[in-house]
Amino acid sequence: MSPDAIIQMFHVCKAYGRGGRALDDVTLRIDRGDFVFLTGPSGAGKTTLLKLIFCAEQPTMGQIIVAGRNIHRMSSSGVPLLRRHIGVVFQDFKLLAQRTVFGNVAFAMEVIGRPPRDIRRRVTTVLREVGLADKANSLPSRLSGGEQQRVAIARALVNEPAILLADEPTGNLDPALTLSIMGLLSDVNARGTTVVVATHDPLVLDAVPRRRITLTGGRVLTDVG
Amino acid sequence: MVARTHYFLQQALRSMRHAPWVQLVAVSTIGISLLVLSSMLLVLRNIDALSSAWGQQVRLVVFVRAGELDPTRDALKRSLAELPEVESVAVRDREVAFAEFKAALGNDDVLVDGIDASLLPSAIELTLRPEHRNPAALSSLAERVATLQGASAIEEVAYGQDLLEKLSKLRDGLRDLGLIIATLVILAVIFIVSNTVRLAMFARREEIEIMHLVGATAGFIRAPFYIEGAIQGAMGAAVAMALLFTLWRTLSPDGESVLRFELGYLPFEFLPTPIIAALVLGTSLVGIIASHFAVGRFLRGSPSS
Repeated sequence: MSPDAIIQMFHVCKAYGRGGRALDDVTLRIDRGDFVFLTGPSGAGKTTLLKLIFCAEQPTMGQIIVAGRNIHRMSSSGVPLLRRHIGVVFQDFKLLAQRTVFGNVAFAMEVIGRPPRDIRRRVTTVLREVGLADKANSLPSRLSGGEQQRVAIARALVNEPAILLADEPTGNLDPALTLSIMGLLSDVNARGTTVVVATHDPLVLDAVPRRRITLTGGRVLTDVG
Repeated sequence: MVARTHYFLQQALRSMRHAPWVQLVAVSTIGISLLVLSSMLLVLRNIDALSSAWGQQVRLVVFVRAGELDPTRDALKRSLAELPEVESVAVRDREVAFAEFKAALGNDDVLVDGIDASLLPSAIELTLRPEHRNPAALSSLAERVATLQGASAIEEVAYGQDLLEKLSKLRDGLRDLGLIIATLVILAVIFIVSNTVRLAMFARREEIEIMHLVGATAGFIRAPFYIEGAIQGAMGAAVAMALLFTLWRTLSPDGESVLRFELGYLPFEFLPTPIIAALVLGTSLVGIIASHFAVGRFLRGSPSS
């Protein structure tokens, strides 16, 4: 593995039963500190590719190396440890309705056994970074869609991952909020985190001119930027 | 470690508070199932105690035919005294036995008026050494007595065998039934706990999904549910013990550990502490095993596991 590469895929295929291949012979490399868009029409394989990176799925064929670990050779007990290096953000936010903003972000640290003092300090810092310090005690239901996505991003970042994966992070947001979230992701990237965003939203792609990997039918069509 | 255990316990209790009625139904059902089993244990234990107490008291009595001469009887007595299980041998005088019999009849002693004590057979009473005072030893000794030299003079060997055999059969029957009930109770506890744990996991499925995503270990995700299963099992067993104790106090109101009847009393002790502890810990363990099955099944179907 190249010293700068943080994600590498070699001839990766992913098939679901007899439903054909979601990914077909994908080879790519993403370096530490990159900001990459995965784009393409619905069903192109963007989400599957993200799932392979954070080990929610196993490839049918090929090799994947993430943060220096070969996923194929990793034991099931190694998966949680790898995931501590990866933050994931979804279109539907996946926030816990009964927990406050602070509680949602703190949860990601609680469940990996971090001490309460560290949790208080770190969550306060991250909420300040995403501009939600004043909403720490609010429940998610009292927040706008953009704010909810900021909470989800704060939760993904709180354990200081090397990689941030975002699957259609602006899919539920209006154009103004979309741009604000993309601005936040750019800031995260500027602080050194590798960011991979799966999107088919032209507004996002036009607003942030970055490397763009286009998938079609599970294959890499173009890799530009 | 302490902080982590505290966190797991907190999560387990939070999950249980989330669905109090489900917990109540689960704990009561486990409690009632265990009450059946523990009642059986209580009866079995007291039958064992009774059987052993009777075995301690019972003597083996060898009746000698009425027409036998004293030398034959004395030779038999000597043979009996040489048996290793026998502590002492005494010839019971006919006249004394007859007087005791009359006394036992009380006001009805007129029934034996005019009957001669010589009609009674001579009796040799054997007292066994303490280690042989049990139904099995009595039975084996009675068989051997019949093969001794001079055994032809024996009319009958008696040691209350009918009662002891009945008691033994009852105990064996109850023990078999107890095993069947124990199996059913274990299956019932597994069924109840695994279903309530699955419900709890379903209620927390979003949390579990996020735990997977942020890198919580399998142990961290499972531990609160194991604790929940253990608590359910222990609480169910505690409910069963409380009900059984109430039942026991009702039957034995003075706490004298006896059941009083018109003609006397039977020993009736509550379950000893080690058995109570074993029941509570055992049910907790079954709760953990049931949670393990439920958690495993649930997590296998989890999208990010």
